[in-house]
This record gives sequence, C-alpha cells and structure tokens, in this order.
Amino acid sequence: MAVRALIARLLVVGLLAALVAVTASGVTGGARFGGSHARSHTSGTILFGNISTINNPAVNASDIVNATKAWISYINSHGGVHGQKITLMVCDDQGNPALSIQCANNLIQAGVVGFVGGWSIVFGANALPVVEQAQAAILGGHPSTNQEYSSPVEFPVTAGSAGSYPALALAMRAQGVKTLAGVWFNTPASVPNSDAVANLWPIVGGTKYTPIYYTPTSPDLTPVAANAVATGATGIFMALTNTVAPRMLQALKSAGYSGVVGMTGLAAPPSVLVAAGSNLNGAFLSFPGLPVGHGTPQMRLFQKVMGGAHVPADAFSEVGAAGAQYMWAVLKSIKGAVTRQSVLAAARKKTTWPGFLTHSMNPKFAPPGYSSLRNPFGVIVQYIGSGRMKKVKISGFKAYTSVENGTTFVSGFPVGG
Amino acid sequence: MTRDFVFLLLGLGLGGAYAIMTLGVVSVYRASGVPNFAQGAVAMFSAFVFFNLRRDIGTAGAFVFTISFGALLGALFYLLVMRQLRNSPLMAQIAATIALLMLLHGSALVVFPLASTAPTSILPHNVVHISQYGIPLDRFLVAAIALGAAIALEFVARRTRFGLASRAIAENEKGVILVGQSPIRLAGANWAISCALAALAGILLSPIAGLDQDALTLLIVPIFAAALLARFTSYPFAVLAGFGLGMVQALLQLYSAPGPWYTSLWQGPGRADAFPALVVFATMLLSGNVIPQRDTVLRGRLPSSLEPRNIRLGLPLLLVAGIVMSLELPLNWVAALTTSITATIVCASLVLLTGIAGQISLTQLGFAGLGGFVAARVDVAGVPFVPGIILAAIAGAALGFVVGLPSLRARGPRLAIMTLAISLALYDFVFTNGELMGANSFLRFGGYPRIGSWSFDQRSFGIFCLVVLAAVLLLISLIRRSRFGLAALLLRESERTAIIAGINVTKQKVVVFVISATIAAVGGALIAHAQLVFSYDSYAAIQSLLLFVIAYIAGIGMASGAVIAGLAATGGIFSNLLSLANITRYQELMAGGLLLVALQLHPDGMATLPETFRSAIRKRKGARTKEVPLTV
Repeated sequence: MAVRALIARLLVVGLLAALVAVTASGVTGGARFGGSHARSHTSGTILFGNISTINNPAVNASDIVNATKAWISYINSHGGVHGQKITLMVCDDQGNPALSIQCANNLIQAGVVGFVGGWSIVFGANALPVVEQAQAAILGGHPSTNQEYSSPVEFPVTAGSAGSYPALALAMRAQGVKTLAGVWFNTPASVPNSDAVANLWPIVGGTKYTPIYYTPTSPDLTPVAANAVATGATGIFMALTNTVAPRMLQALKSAGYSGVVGMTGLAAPPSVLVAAGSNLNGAFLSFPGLPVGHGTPQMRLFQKVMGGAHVPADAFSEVGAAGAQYMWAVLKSIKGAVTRQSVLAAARKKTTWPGFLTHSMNPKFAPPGYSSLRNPFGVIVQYIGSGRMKKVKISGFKAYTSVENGTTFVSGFPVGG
Repeated sequence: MTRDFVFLLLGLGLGGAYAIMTLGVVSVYRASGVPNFAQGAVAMFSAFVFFNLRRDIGTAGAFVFTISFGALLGALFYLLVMRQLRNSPLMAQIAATIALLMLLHGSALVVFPLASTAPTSILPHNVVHISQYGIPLDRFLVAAIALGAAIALEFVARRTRFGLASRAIAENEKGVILVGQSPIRLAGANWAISCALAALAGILLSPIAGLDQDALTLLIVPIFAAALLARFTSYPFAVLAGFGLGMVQALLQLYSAPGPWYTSLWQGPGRADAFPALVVFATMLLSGNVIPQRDTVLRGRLPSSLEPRNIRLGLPLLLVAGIVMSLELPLNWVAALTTSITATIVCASLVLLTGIAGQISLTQLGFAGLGGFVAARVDVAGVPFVPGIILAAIAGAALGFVVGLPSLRARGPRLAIMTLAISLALYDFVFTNGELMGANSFLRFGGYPRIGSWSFDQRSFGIFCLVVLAAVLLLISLIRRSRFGLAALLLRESERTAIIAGINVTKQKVVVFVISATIAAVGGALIAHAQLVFSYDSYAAIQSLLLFVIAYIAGIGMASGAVIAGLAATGGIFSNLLSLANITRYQELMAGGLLLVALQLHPDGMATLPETFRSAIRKRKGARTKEVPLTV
C-alpha cells in the first residue's frame, strides 16, 4: 500500500512537473508565435492565415489547404508580391467551435494580414465574429453558412454552398427532371439554401420540390434515402461532404433508386468516385470551375502546379488555387505597405476579378441577400464512370447561364439579378 | 400503410445492432452493476480493427481476431481498471467507463484514417423489394443475429452454472463467494462477453452506419434507452427494445419536414435522432425504480470535498492574477483565459451538483447552452446585457427544476443516463431548431456588451467574467461550509441517512439542481457573449462528457478543482498551449488516459494534492495531526 502511495505521488509530481514544463515552454512558444509577427514584417514576409477543418471524420479539407500552399509556393517562385514572399499559417479547427475561435485569435495575434481560402464546418458560425472584429479580409474559400455571404470581410471567389445547389437543381431541370427532392443537412443554415431552390424550381418549370433533412451522423442513412425515393422524385440532389457521400450513395442504391442524382464536386473527390464504383455513374456534379482535364492554358498551369506538389487536381484544389490566385491579384493591387487594413481596403476595391478556372467575379452577379457571393456560377458535369466526366449541355435557360472562355457556367439565380 | 411498414422494416438492421450492443450492456450490468458508457466506442474501435485486417488476412481470420480482440479488451479493462474500482462508488465506475470511451475515441482519431467510409457488409446485402420499396437483405440478417444472441445469452443465464452465478452476484455477492465462485472471474467474463458483442455489432453495423470515429461511439443513448426498457436485466426485452427503437427511428425519418405545432414532438428535422433521448426521459418519469440497485449502502469513498481553507487569500489572489493577465497578455491569450474563466464557472456548477451533492450530471453543458441561447436570443431582441444574463439564469433555473424532478427517482447511473439524454434532447429540440435559431445555425451578438454607457472590450469583458467567477467560487465555498452544504454532503453519502437526519431530500435535490443549473446558465451566457456568437455545435453531448472527465481529473469535489478544469477546457489556456505545440488532436486521448490513471492513483483529483502533501509531511514529521475529514 505504501509503495502504491509512493508511486502515486511520484506520478502526480511527474505530471505536475510536465504540466509546468509544457506551460513554460508554451508561454515562451507563445512569445515566439507573437514574435514572428514583428519579424515577418522586417524580413519582408507577408503572413496569411488559413482556418480549415482537417482532422474531422465528417469533413477533410486538407486538399484545399495543400492546393493553397502549392499555389503560394508558385507565387513565391515568381517573385512573390512586390518582392515580398507570402507565408501561409494553417490552423486545423478539427470541426470544433472552440478550436476555430482559438485558431482565429492565435492567427490574428501572430500578425496575419488576412485569411485565404479555407473550408471549415464551424468557422462561419463561431470564428467569423473574431475575424470581423480584427477587420481581417477572408479571400477565397468555400463558405458554408449564410452569414459568410453577408460578411463585410469575406470575399469568396467560388459559388460555395449557396450557389452550388441552385445551380445543380437548374442543371437537373435542364435534363428533364420535373419532380425534385433535396436532401439537406439538418442545420438551420440549410434552410435558406433549400428556400433558394424552392423559389427557383417553379420558375424554371419544375412541378414539385421536396426538402428532406438529415443528420450526417445518423447511424443509418437508408431511411433518409428511402424517404427521398418515396417522394416520387425523378431527381434527387444531396448536400454531402466527401466523408458522408459514400454512405449516402450506398443508401440510395440500397433504397433501389435509379433516377437522376446530383451532388457537389466537393463531395466527390477521386477517392469517393473510386469508392462509389458504379453507384455514381450518371450523377451530376457541380464544380466550382472548369472540369479537371479541360485543355485550357489555365487548366494546364493548374495541373502542373498541383502535380508538382502531389495534390490531386479536383474540386477541392480548384477552390484552393482560385482563392490563392485572387489573393495574389488583391495583393498586387496594393500600393504601399501590405497591412491588414490595406488588404481589406484592396479587397473591397477589387470586387471584380476575371476568375481562375472559375467564372469571373462581379458585384452584379450577387443574388439578393448574398452580397459577397459575386460568383454564384458553377460548371455542371456528368460522371460517366472510371473517373471520367463529361460536360453537361444546359439549353433553354439563358437567363441562368453565362459563357466565358468557351465554357458554359450555370447559376441558380438569374444572371445579373 | 405499406410505406410505413417498409420504413419500420428498414429500421430492423439498426435496431438489430442496437439490440446486440444492448445485450452487452445488460450482461455487464447484471454482473457488475455498472452501465458501460464505452459500449459504442468499443464497437467503433473493433470495427476499425476488423475492416483494416480484412484486407490482409481475409474475412474469417479478421472476424475471429476482432471478436477475440473485443473480448480481451473487455477482460483487460475489467481486470486492470474496474476490478480495482469494484468497491468504489458508482460515480468513479461510471467515470472509468467514460474515460474508456474518450481513450478509444481519442486513440481512433490518432491511429485510424479520418475519412468516413462505407465498407462492404460481410452479410449478403442484395435488395429485397416490397411493393416499390427496396430493403437490403442484411437488415433482416442483423436482426436475426441479434435474436440468436439473445436466445443464447438467455439460455446461458438460465441453464448454466456460469449464468446463474452471474445473476446471483447482483443479488448476493457474498453468497456467490461462499459457494466457491469468484465474482472477479464472473464479472471479467461478462465484461469480455459484453465487449465481444460490441465488436460483433461494430462489424455488422459499420457497413450501415459508416466506418468512422463518431458514427458508433455516440450510440450510447439509444443503447441505454433500450437497456432501460429492458430494466437492465432482461435479454429478451433488450432485443425487443433495440428493434423497437431502430424501427421507430426509421419510421420517423419519413416525417423529417416540420409539421403543425402539435406534431413538433415527433415531426421535424432531427426528431428521429432525438427519439431515444425522449424514451429515456419518459422511462425515468414513468418508472421510479427501473434499475435494480445493487447496493443501497454506499460503496467506497467518494472524491474528497474538503472545506475551503484559503478562500480569503485565494480569491483576491485569483482576482489580481487574472486582472493582471487580462491586461498584460496578448489578445489571443486573453481570449484563451476568458474561455478558461467561463468554463470554470460551468465546472463550478458541476462541483456543486456532482462533487458536493453527489448527483451525477452529464448535462451541465446543456444548461450552459440554454443560458447562451437565451442570452443571444434576447440580445437579438434588443434586451440589454444585464437583464439578458438574468433571463438566462432564470431559464437555467427553470430547466434545473425540470431536470431535478426526475432526480428524485433516478440516482447514480440512471441519473447519468437521463442527464446525457437531456443533453441530446436539448441539442436536437432547441439548439438545432430552425424556428428558434432563425435562418442561421447560430445567433450573433452585435459586439461586446454594454452596461449603460460603458462598453466592454475583449480585455475588460474578460475581467468582468473573472469577477463573476470569483462570486461563483465564493458562493460554492459558502454553500460548502453552510448547513445546506453539509446536508448536501450527507445526501451524497446516503439518502436514507439524510432522511433520518431530518433533511428534506426532495427539496435539497431540487434546490441543488436549480442553483447548479443557474450557475451553468450564467456561465453559458458569458461564453456566448465572450465569443460574440451562440453556436449550437459548441454544446454537443461529447463535449459534456469531456467536461465531466476534465472536472473529475481536476477534483470534482473542490471549488479549486473547477479552476483547474477550466484551465484545461477546450479553447482555454491548456488547450492553447497544445494548439501552439500542434498537438490539440491528442487532447481527448490525454484526458481519457489521465482519468484512468487518476481514478486508480488519486481519485480525489488534482485539487486535493496540496492537502495530500500537507498530510504526508505532517505524518512524516510524526506530529500529532488534526484529522482531516476526507469525505465530508
């Protein structure tokens, strides 16, 4: 008993000592973290932050982050911005609200002049107020909450959630779908996106639209899929993440569905396409920009940079690359010192942008209620199996389409309001 | 009608998996009297083992290995942890199973890939058509396996010496020893069976639920709901209850769109997920003695709740240190400090309720969430800061009263299960309710609050939270020293003794719940104000479990334990250190592991270390020391 008590005390003392050591090293580490702010400016480095959800079973945005890193390396190898290199500080919030806020506070304290292109499932609902307080611009990225579309500091260059689903619905309507079911995450943030589709559907000649809400962590998605099938819909599109997609596709197959399926390209990276096998054949996918493999100079450059960094060229990396390219354009437009204020001011000025793989960005494209969504366009492709896709022809909906660089982009909102 | 029937059948697979896991929970409860909160986590971890091995050694080999792994895990957990705690209070035993849950979940996050996959079932899964609806065949087979397992367990329980002895332990442990049976061997074997069943459920359910770290881990509420309906004793009823829950959940999926107000209990988004929590709550309300209590006399020693010694020195010191830090630290550390301060307030509510009054609560974060929700809702409506906080406190008190009422009938493990269910129900019915939350999944504040013409900023609001914390700690200390606090301690030790001592147990319990919930709600309101937003995903049930674990390690019986727990809260000071060292993903693993170590070596928690060392020094000096009451 005495030995056990002694061991206990030694362990406790050891733990306390370790705690003190970690605390001490952390505080000094914190000083270094803060200190990098001062050094970054004297050494001519421009610090940018990225908050993304990476270590989380439901979402893994690591390819957006890796693409952003690769693109920043490319920018730096081409002289950076006014002779200054860009440094990216990435913080993984793990889908945890408290950690997302912590990431924002730490990055702002570290002296980032802005944020670039991430995807987090908790950022908009939790950390956005911290970034707004600090008046730091968020350039690019894939917004997933309504708040991000009306934030005065957020400048997405791709359609995000708000643009992707109406565009997908329109594309499915163009394929002759009249009765549609939308399968949404069970979060209040899904409601405005679903409402946008509900408003669109009768205008474009659809007869019935049924929203179905589900919890992605539900142990069995088969009843969800069966419910969508039971609506009698001839087309079903689904709000999915890349980690939920394999289960939902399996559930849809189990429910015996054989109609038209739609989902976003972010839910269908190559790993999902492989895992889904023939379950996904014929499905419509909404991409933020040009389908991968399309032979344009921009696409060749994109594939070269991604290939060099061993990042898959897919919808994720398109979001990362487009965001970083826009950041580059914003920074280049700054005359004088690159500071948090000057970045935000430049982003507010540079509200138009020709796009990179994506449709151009222009305030006239922003749908009502989505002031920061200046590019609600996507490209719809159809998966034809074995990792191959073909572009989908959208005819008869001129008010919702725009042709740029030979590619037809689709919006779920009338072009130009 | 056909459609409803088909949806009921669709739930057979999930119901079958619930049933298999419930059989394991019942098996352990019958033999050792502990509800195993880690049953879903064992299933999750085993599923990872199976599907990773299957590629290399084939299905049959992987199956045998995984079931053996589950059994070994159960036996080892019993022998290394639960056996040492068999004479400890149920609070410690429950904490140990929660620690196992955190340990397995945290380990899986680190060891296995994070992407969710849908592995191929080992059972035939071709689609059977009924009318125009399809049902995969494996759903029927999973249900059949559950039924088979129940029949086998019931046969063993009734017809074999092992089964009879396992049942007898629950009634008379000493009698079992007298007839030559070892309660340790019996309990160990039952833990092995239980975890083997969890492993089986993991293998069968993962193709349906997906293979990831979260999918199965949090199935504890439906499993406990089924176990409650089976009175934690009956294998046949466990299976029927599991089937029933799975089938009704599948049926409710048909009604996921919002309906008229009078259908809001069962119709609307999230109702299918919330159904098991409702079953738990209803069962608790309708049946007062659902789980047969193994002992009415307290076993073992509860965590120390020492009388506060240095409150006059400690509180001013805390205030001065906190104010200096709030003024001097960089803003990211001020944010972390404020998170720690507000989390300490919530932990202090747990100290009062669980540490001092002995009422196990896994819903403190639910109380806090309600406080945050009300504060944000009234702020949006233009109500000033202080009245908003008061309204949040009133809402917390009201919910505390509602939760406190069933606590008159539910004790120990039942109370833990019920409070966890309430946590989930709050999440599904309030925090994710679009009608209450508006068009977003969160409610934003316009900025830091104002009192009259005085407007807070980040630093001054941190200091304000610190002052509130000091007041809360003072309140807890005064309660601990008061007659009310002594009555609460007596209640914690033995309700019957408390009644004999003339304490009105009913009033005592409800009042403790109300005070605790009020404190937690105020803490939640401050958290929301400090973060400038109320966001529902901050109040998920897994976070409540983590809070309980951290509070237990820190010292759940002591106000100073709340301070240590607050420092370790997610987003707080310690978490920020982990973040800067880039090891945040190990926090859960560390919390679970530390709790298991702490339960074995120093169950009183870190807050009692100074007293432990003082006591040791006094003994070494041979001085005549004053007896320090350790449990009261």
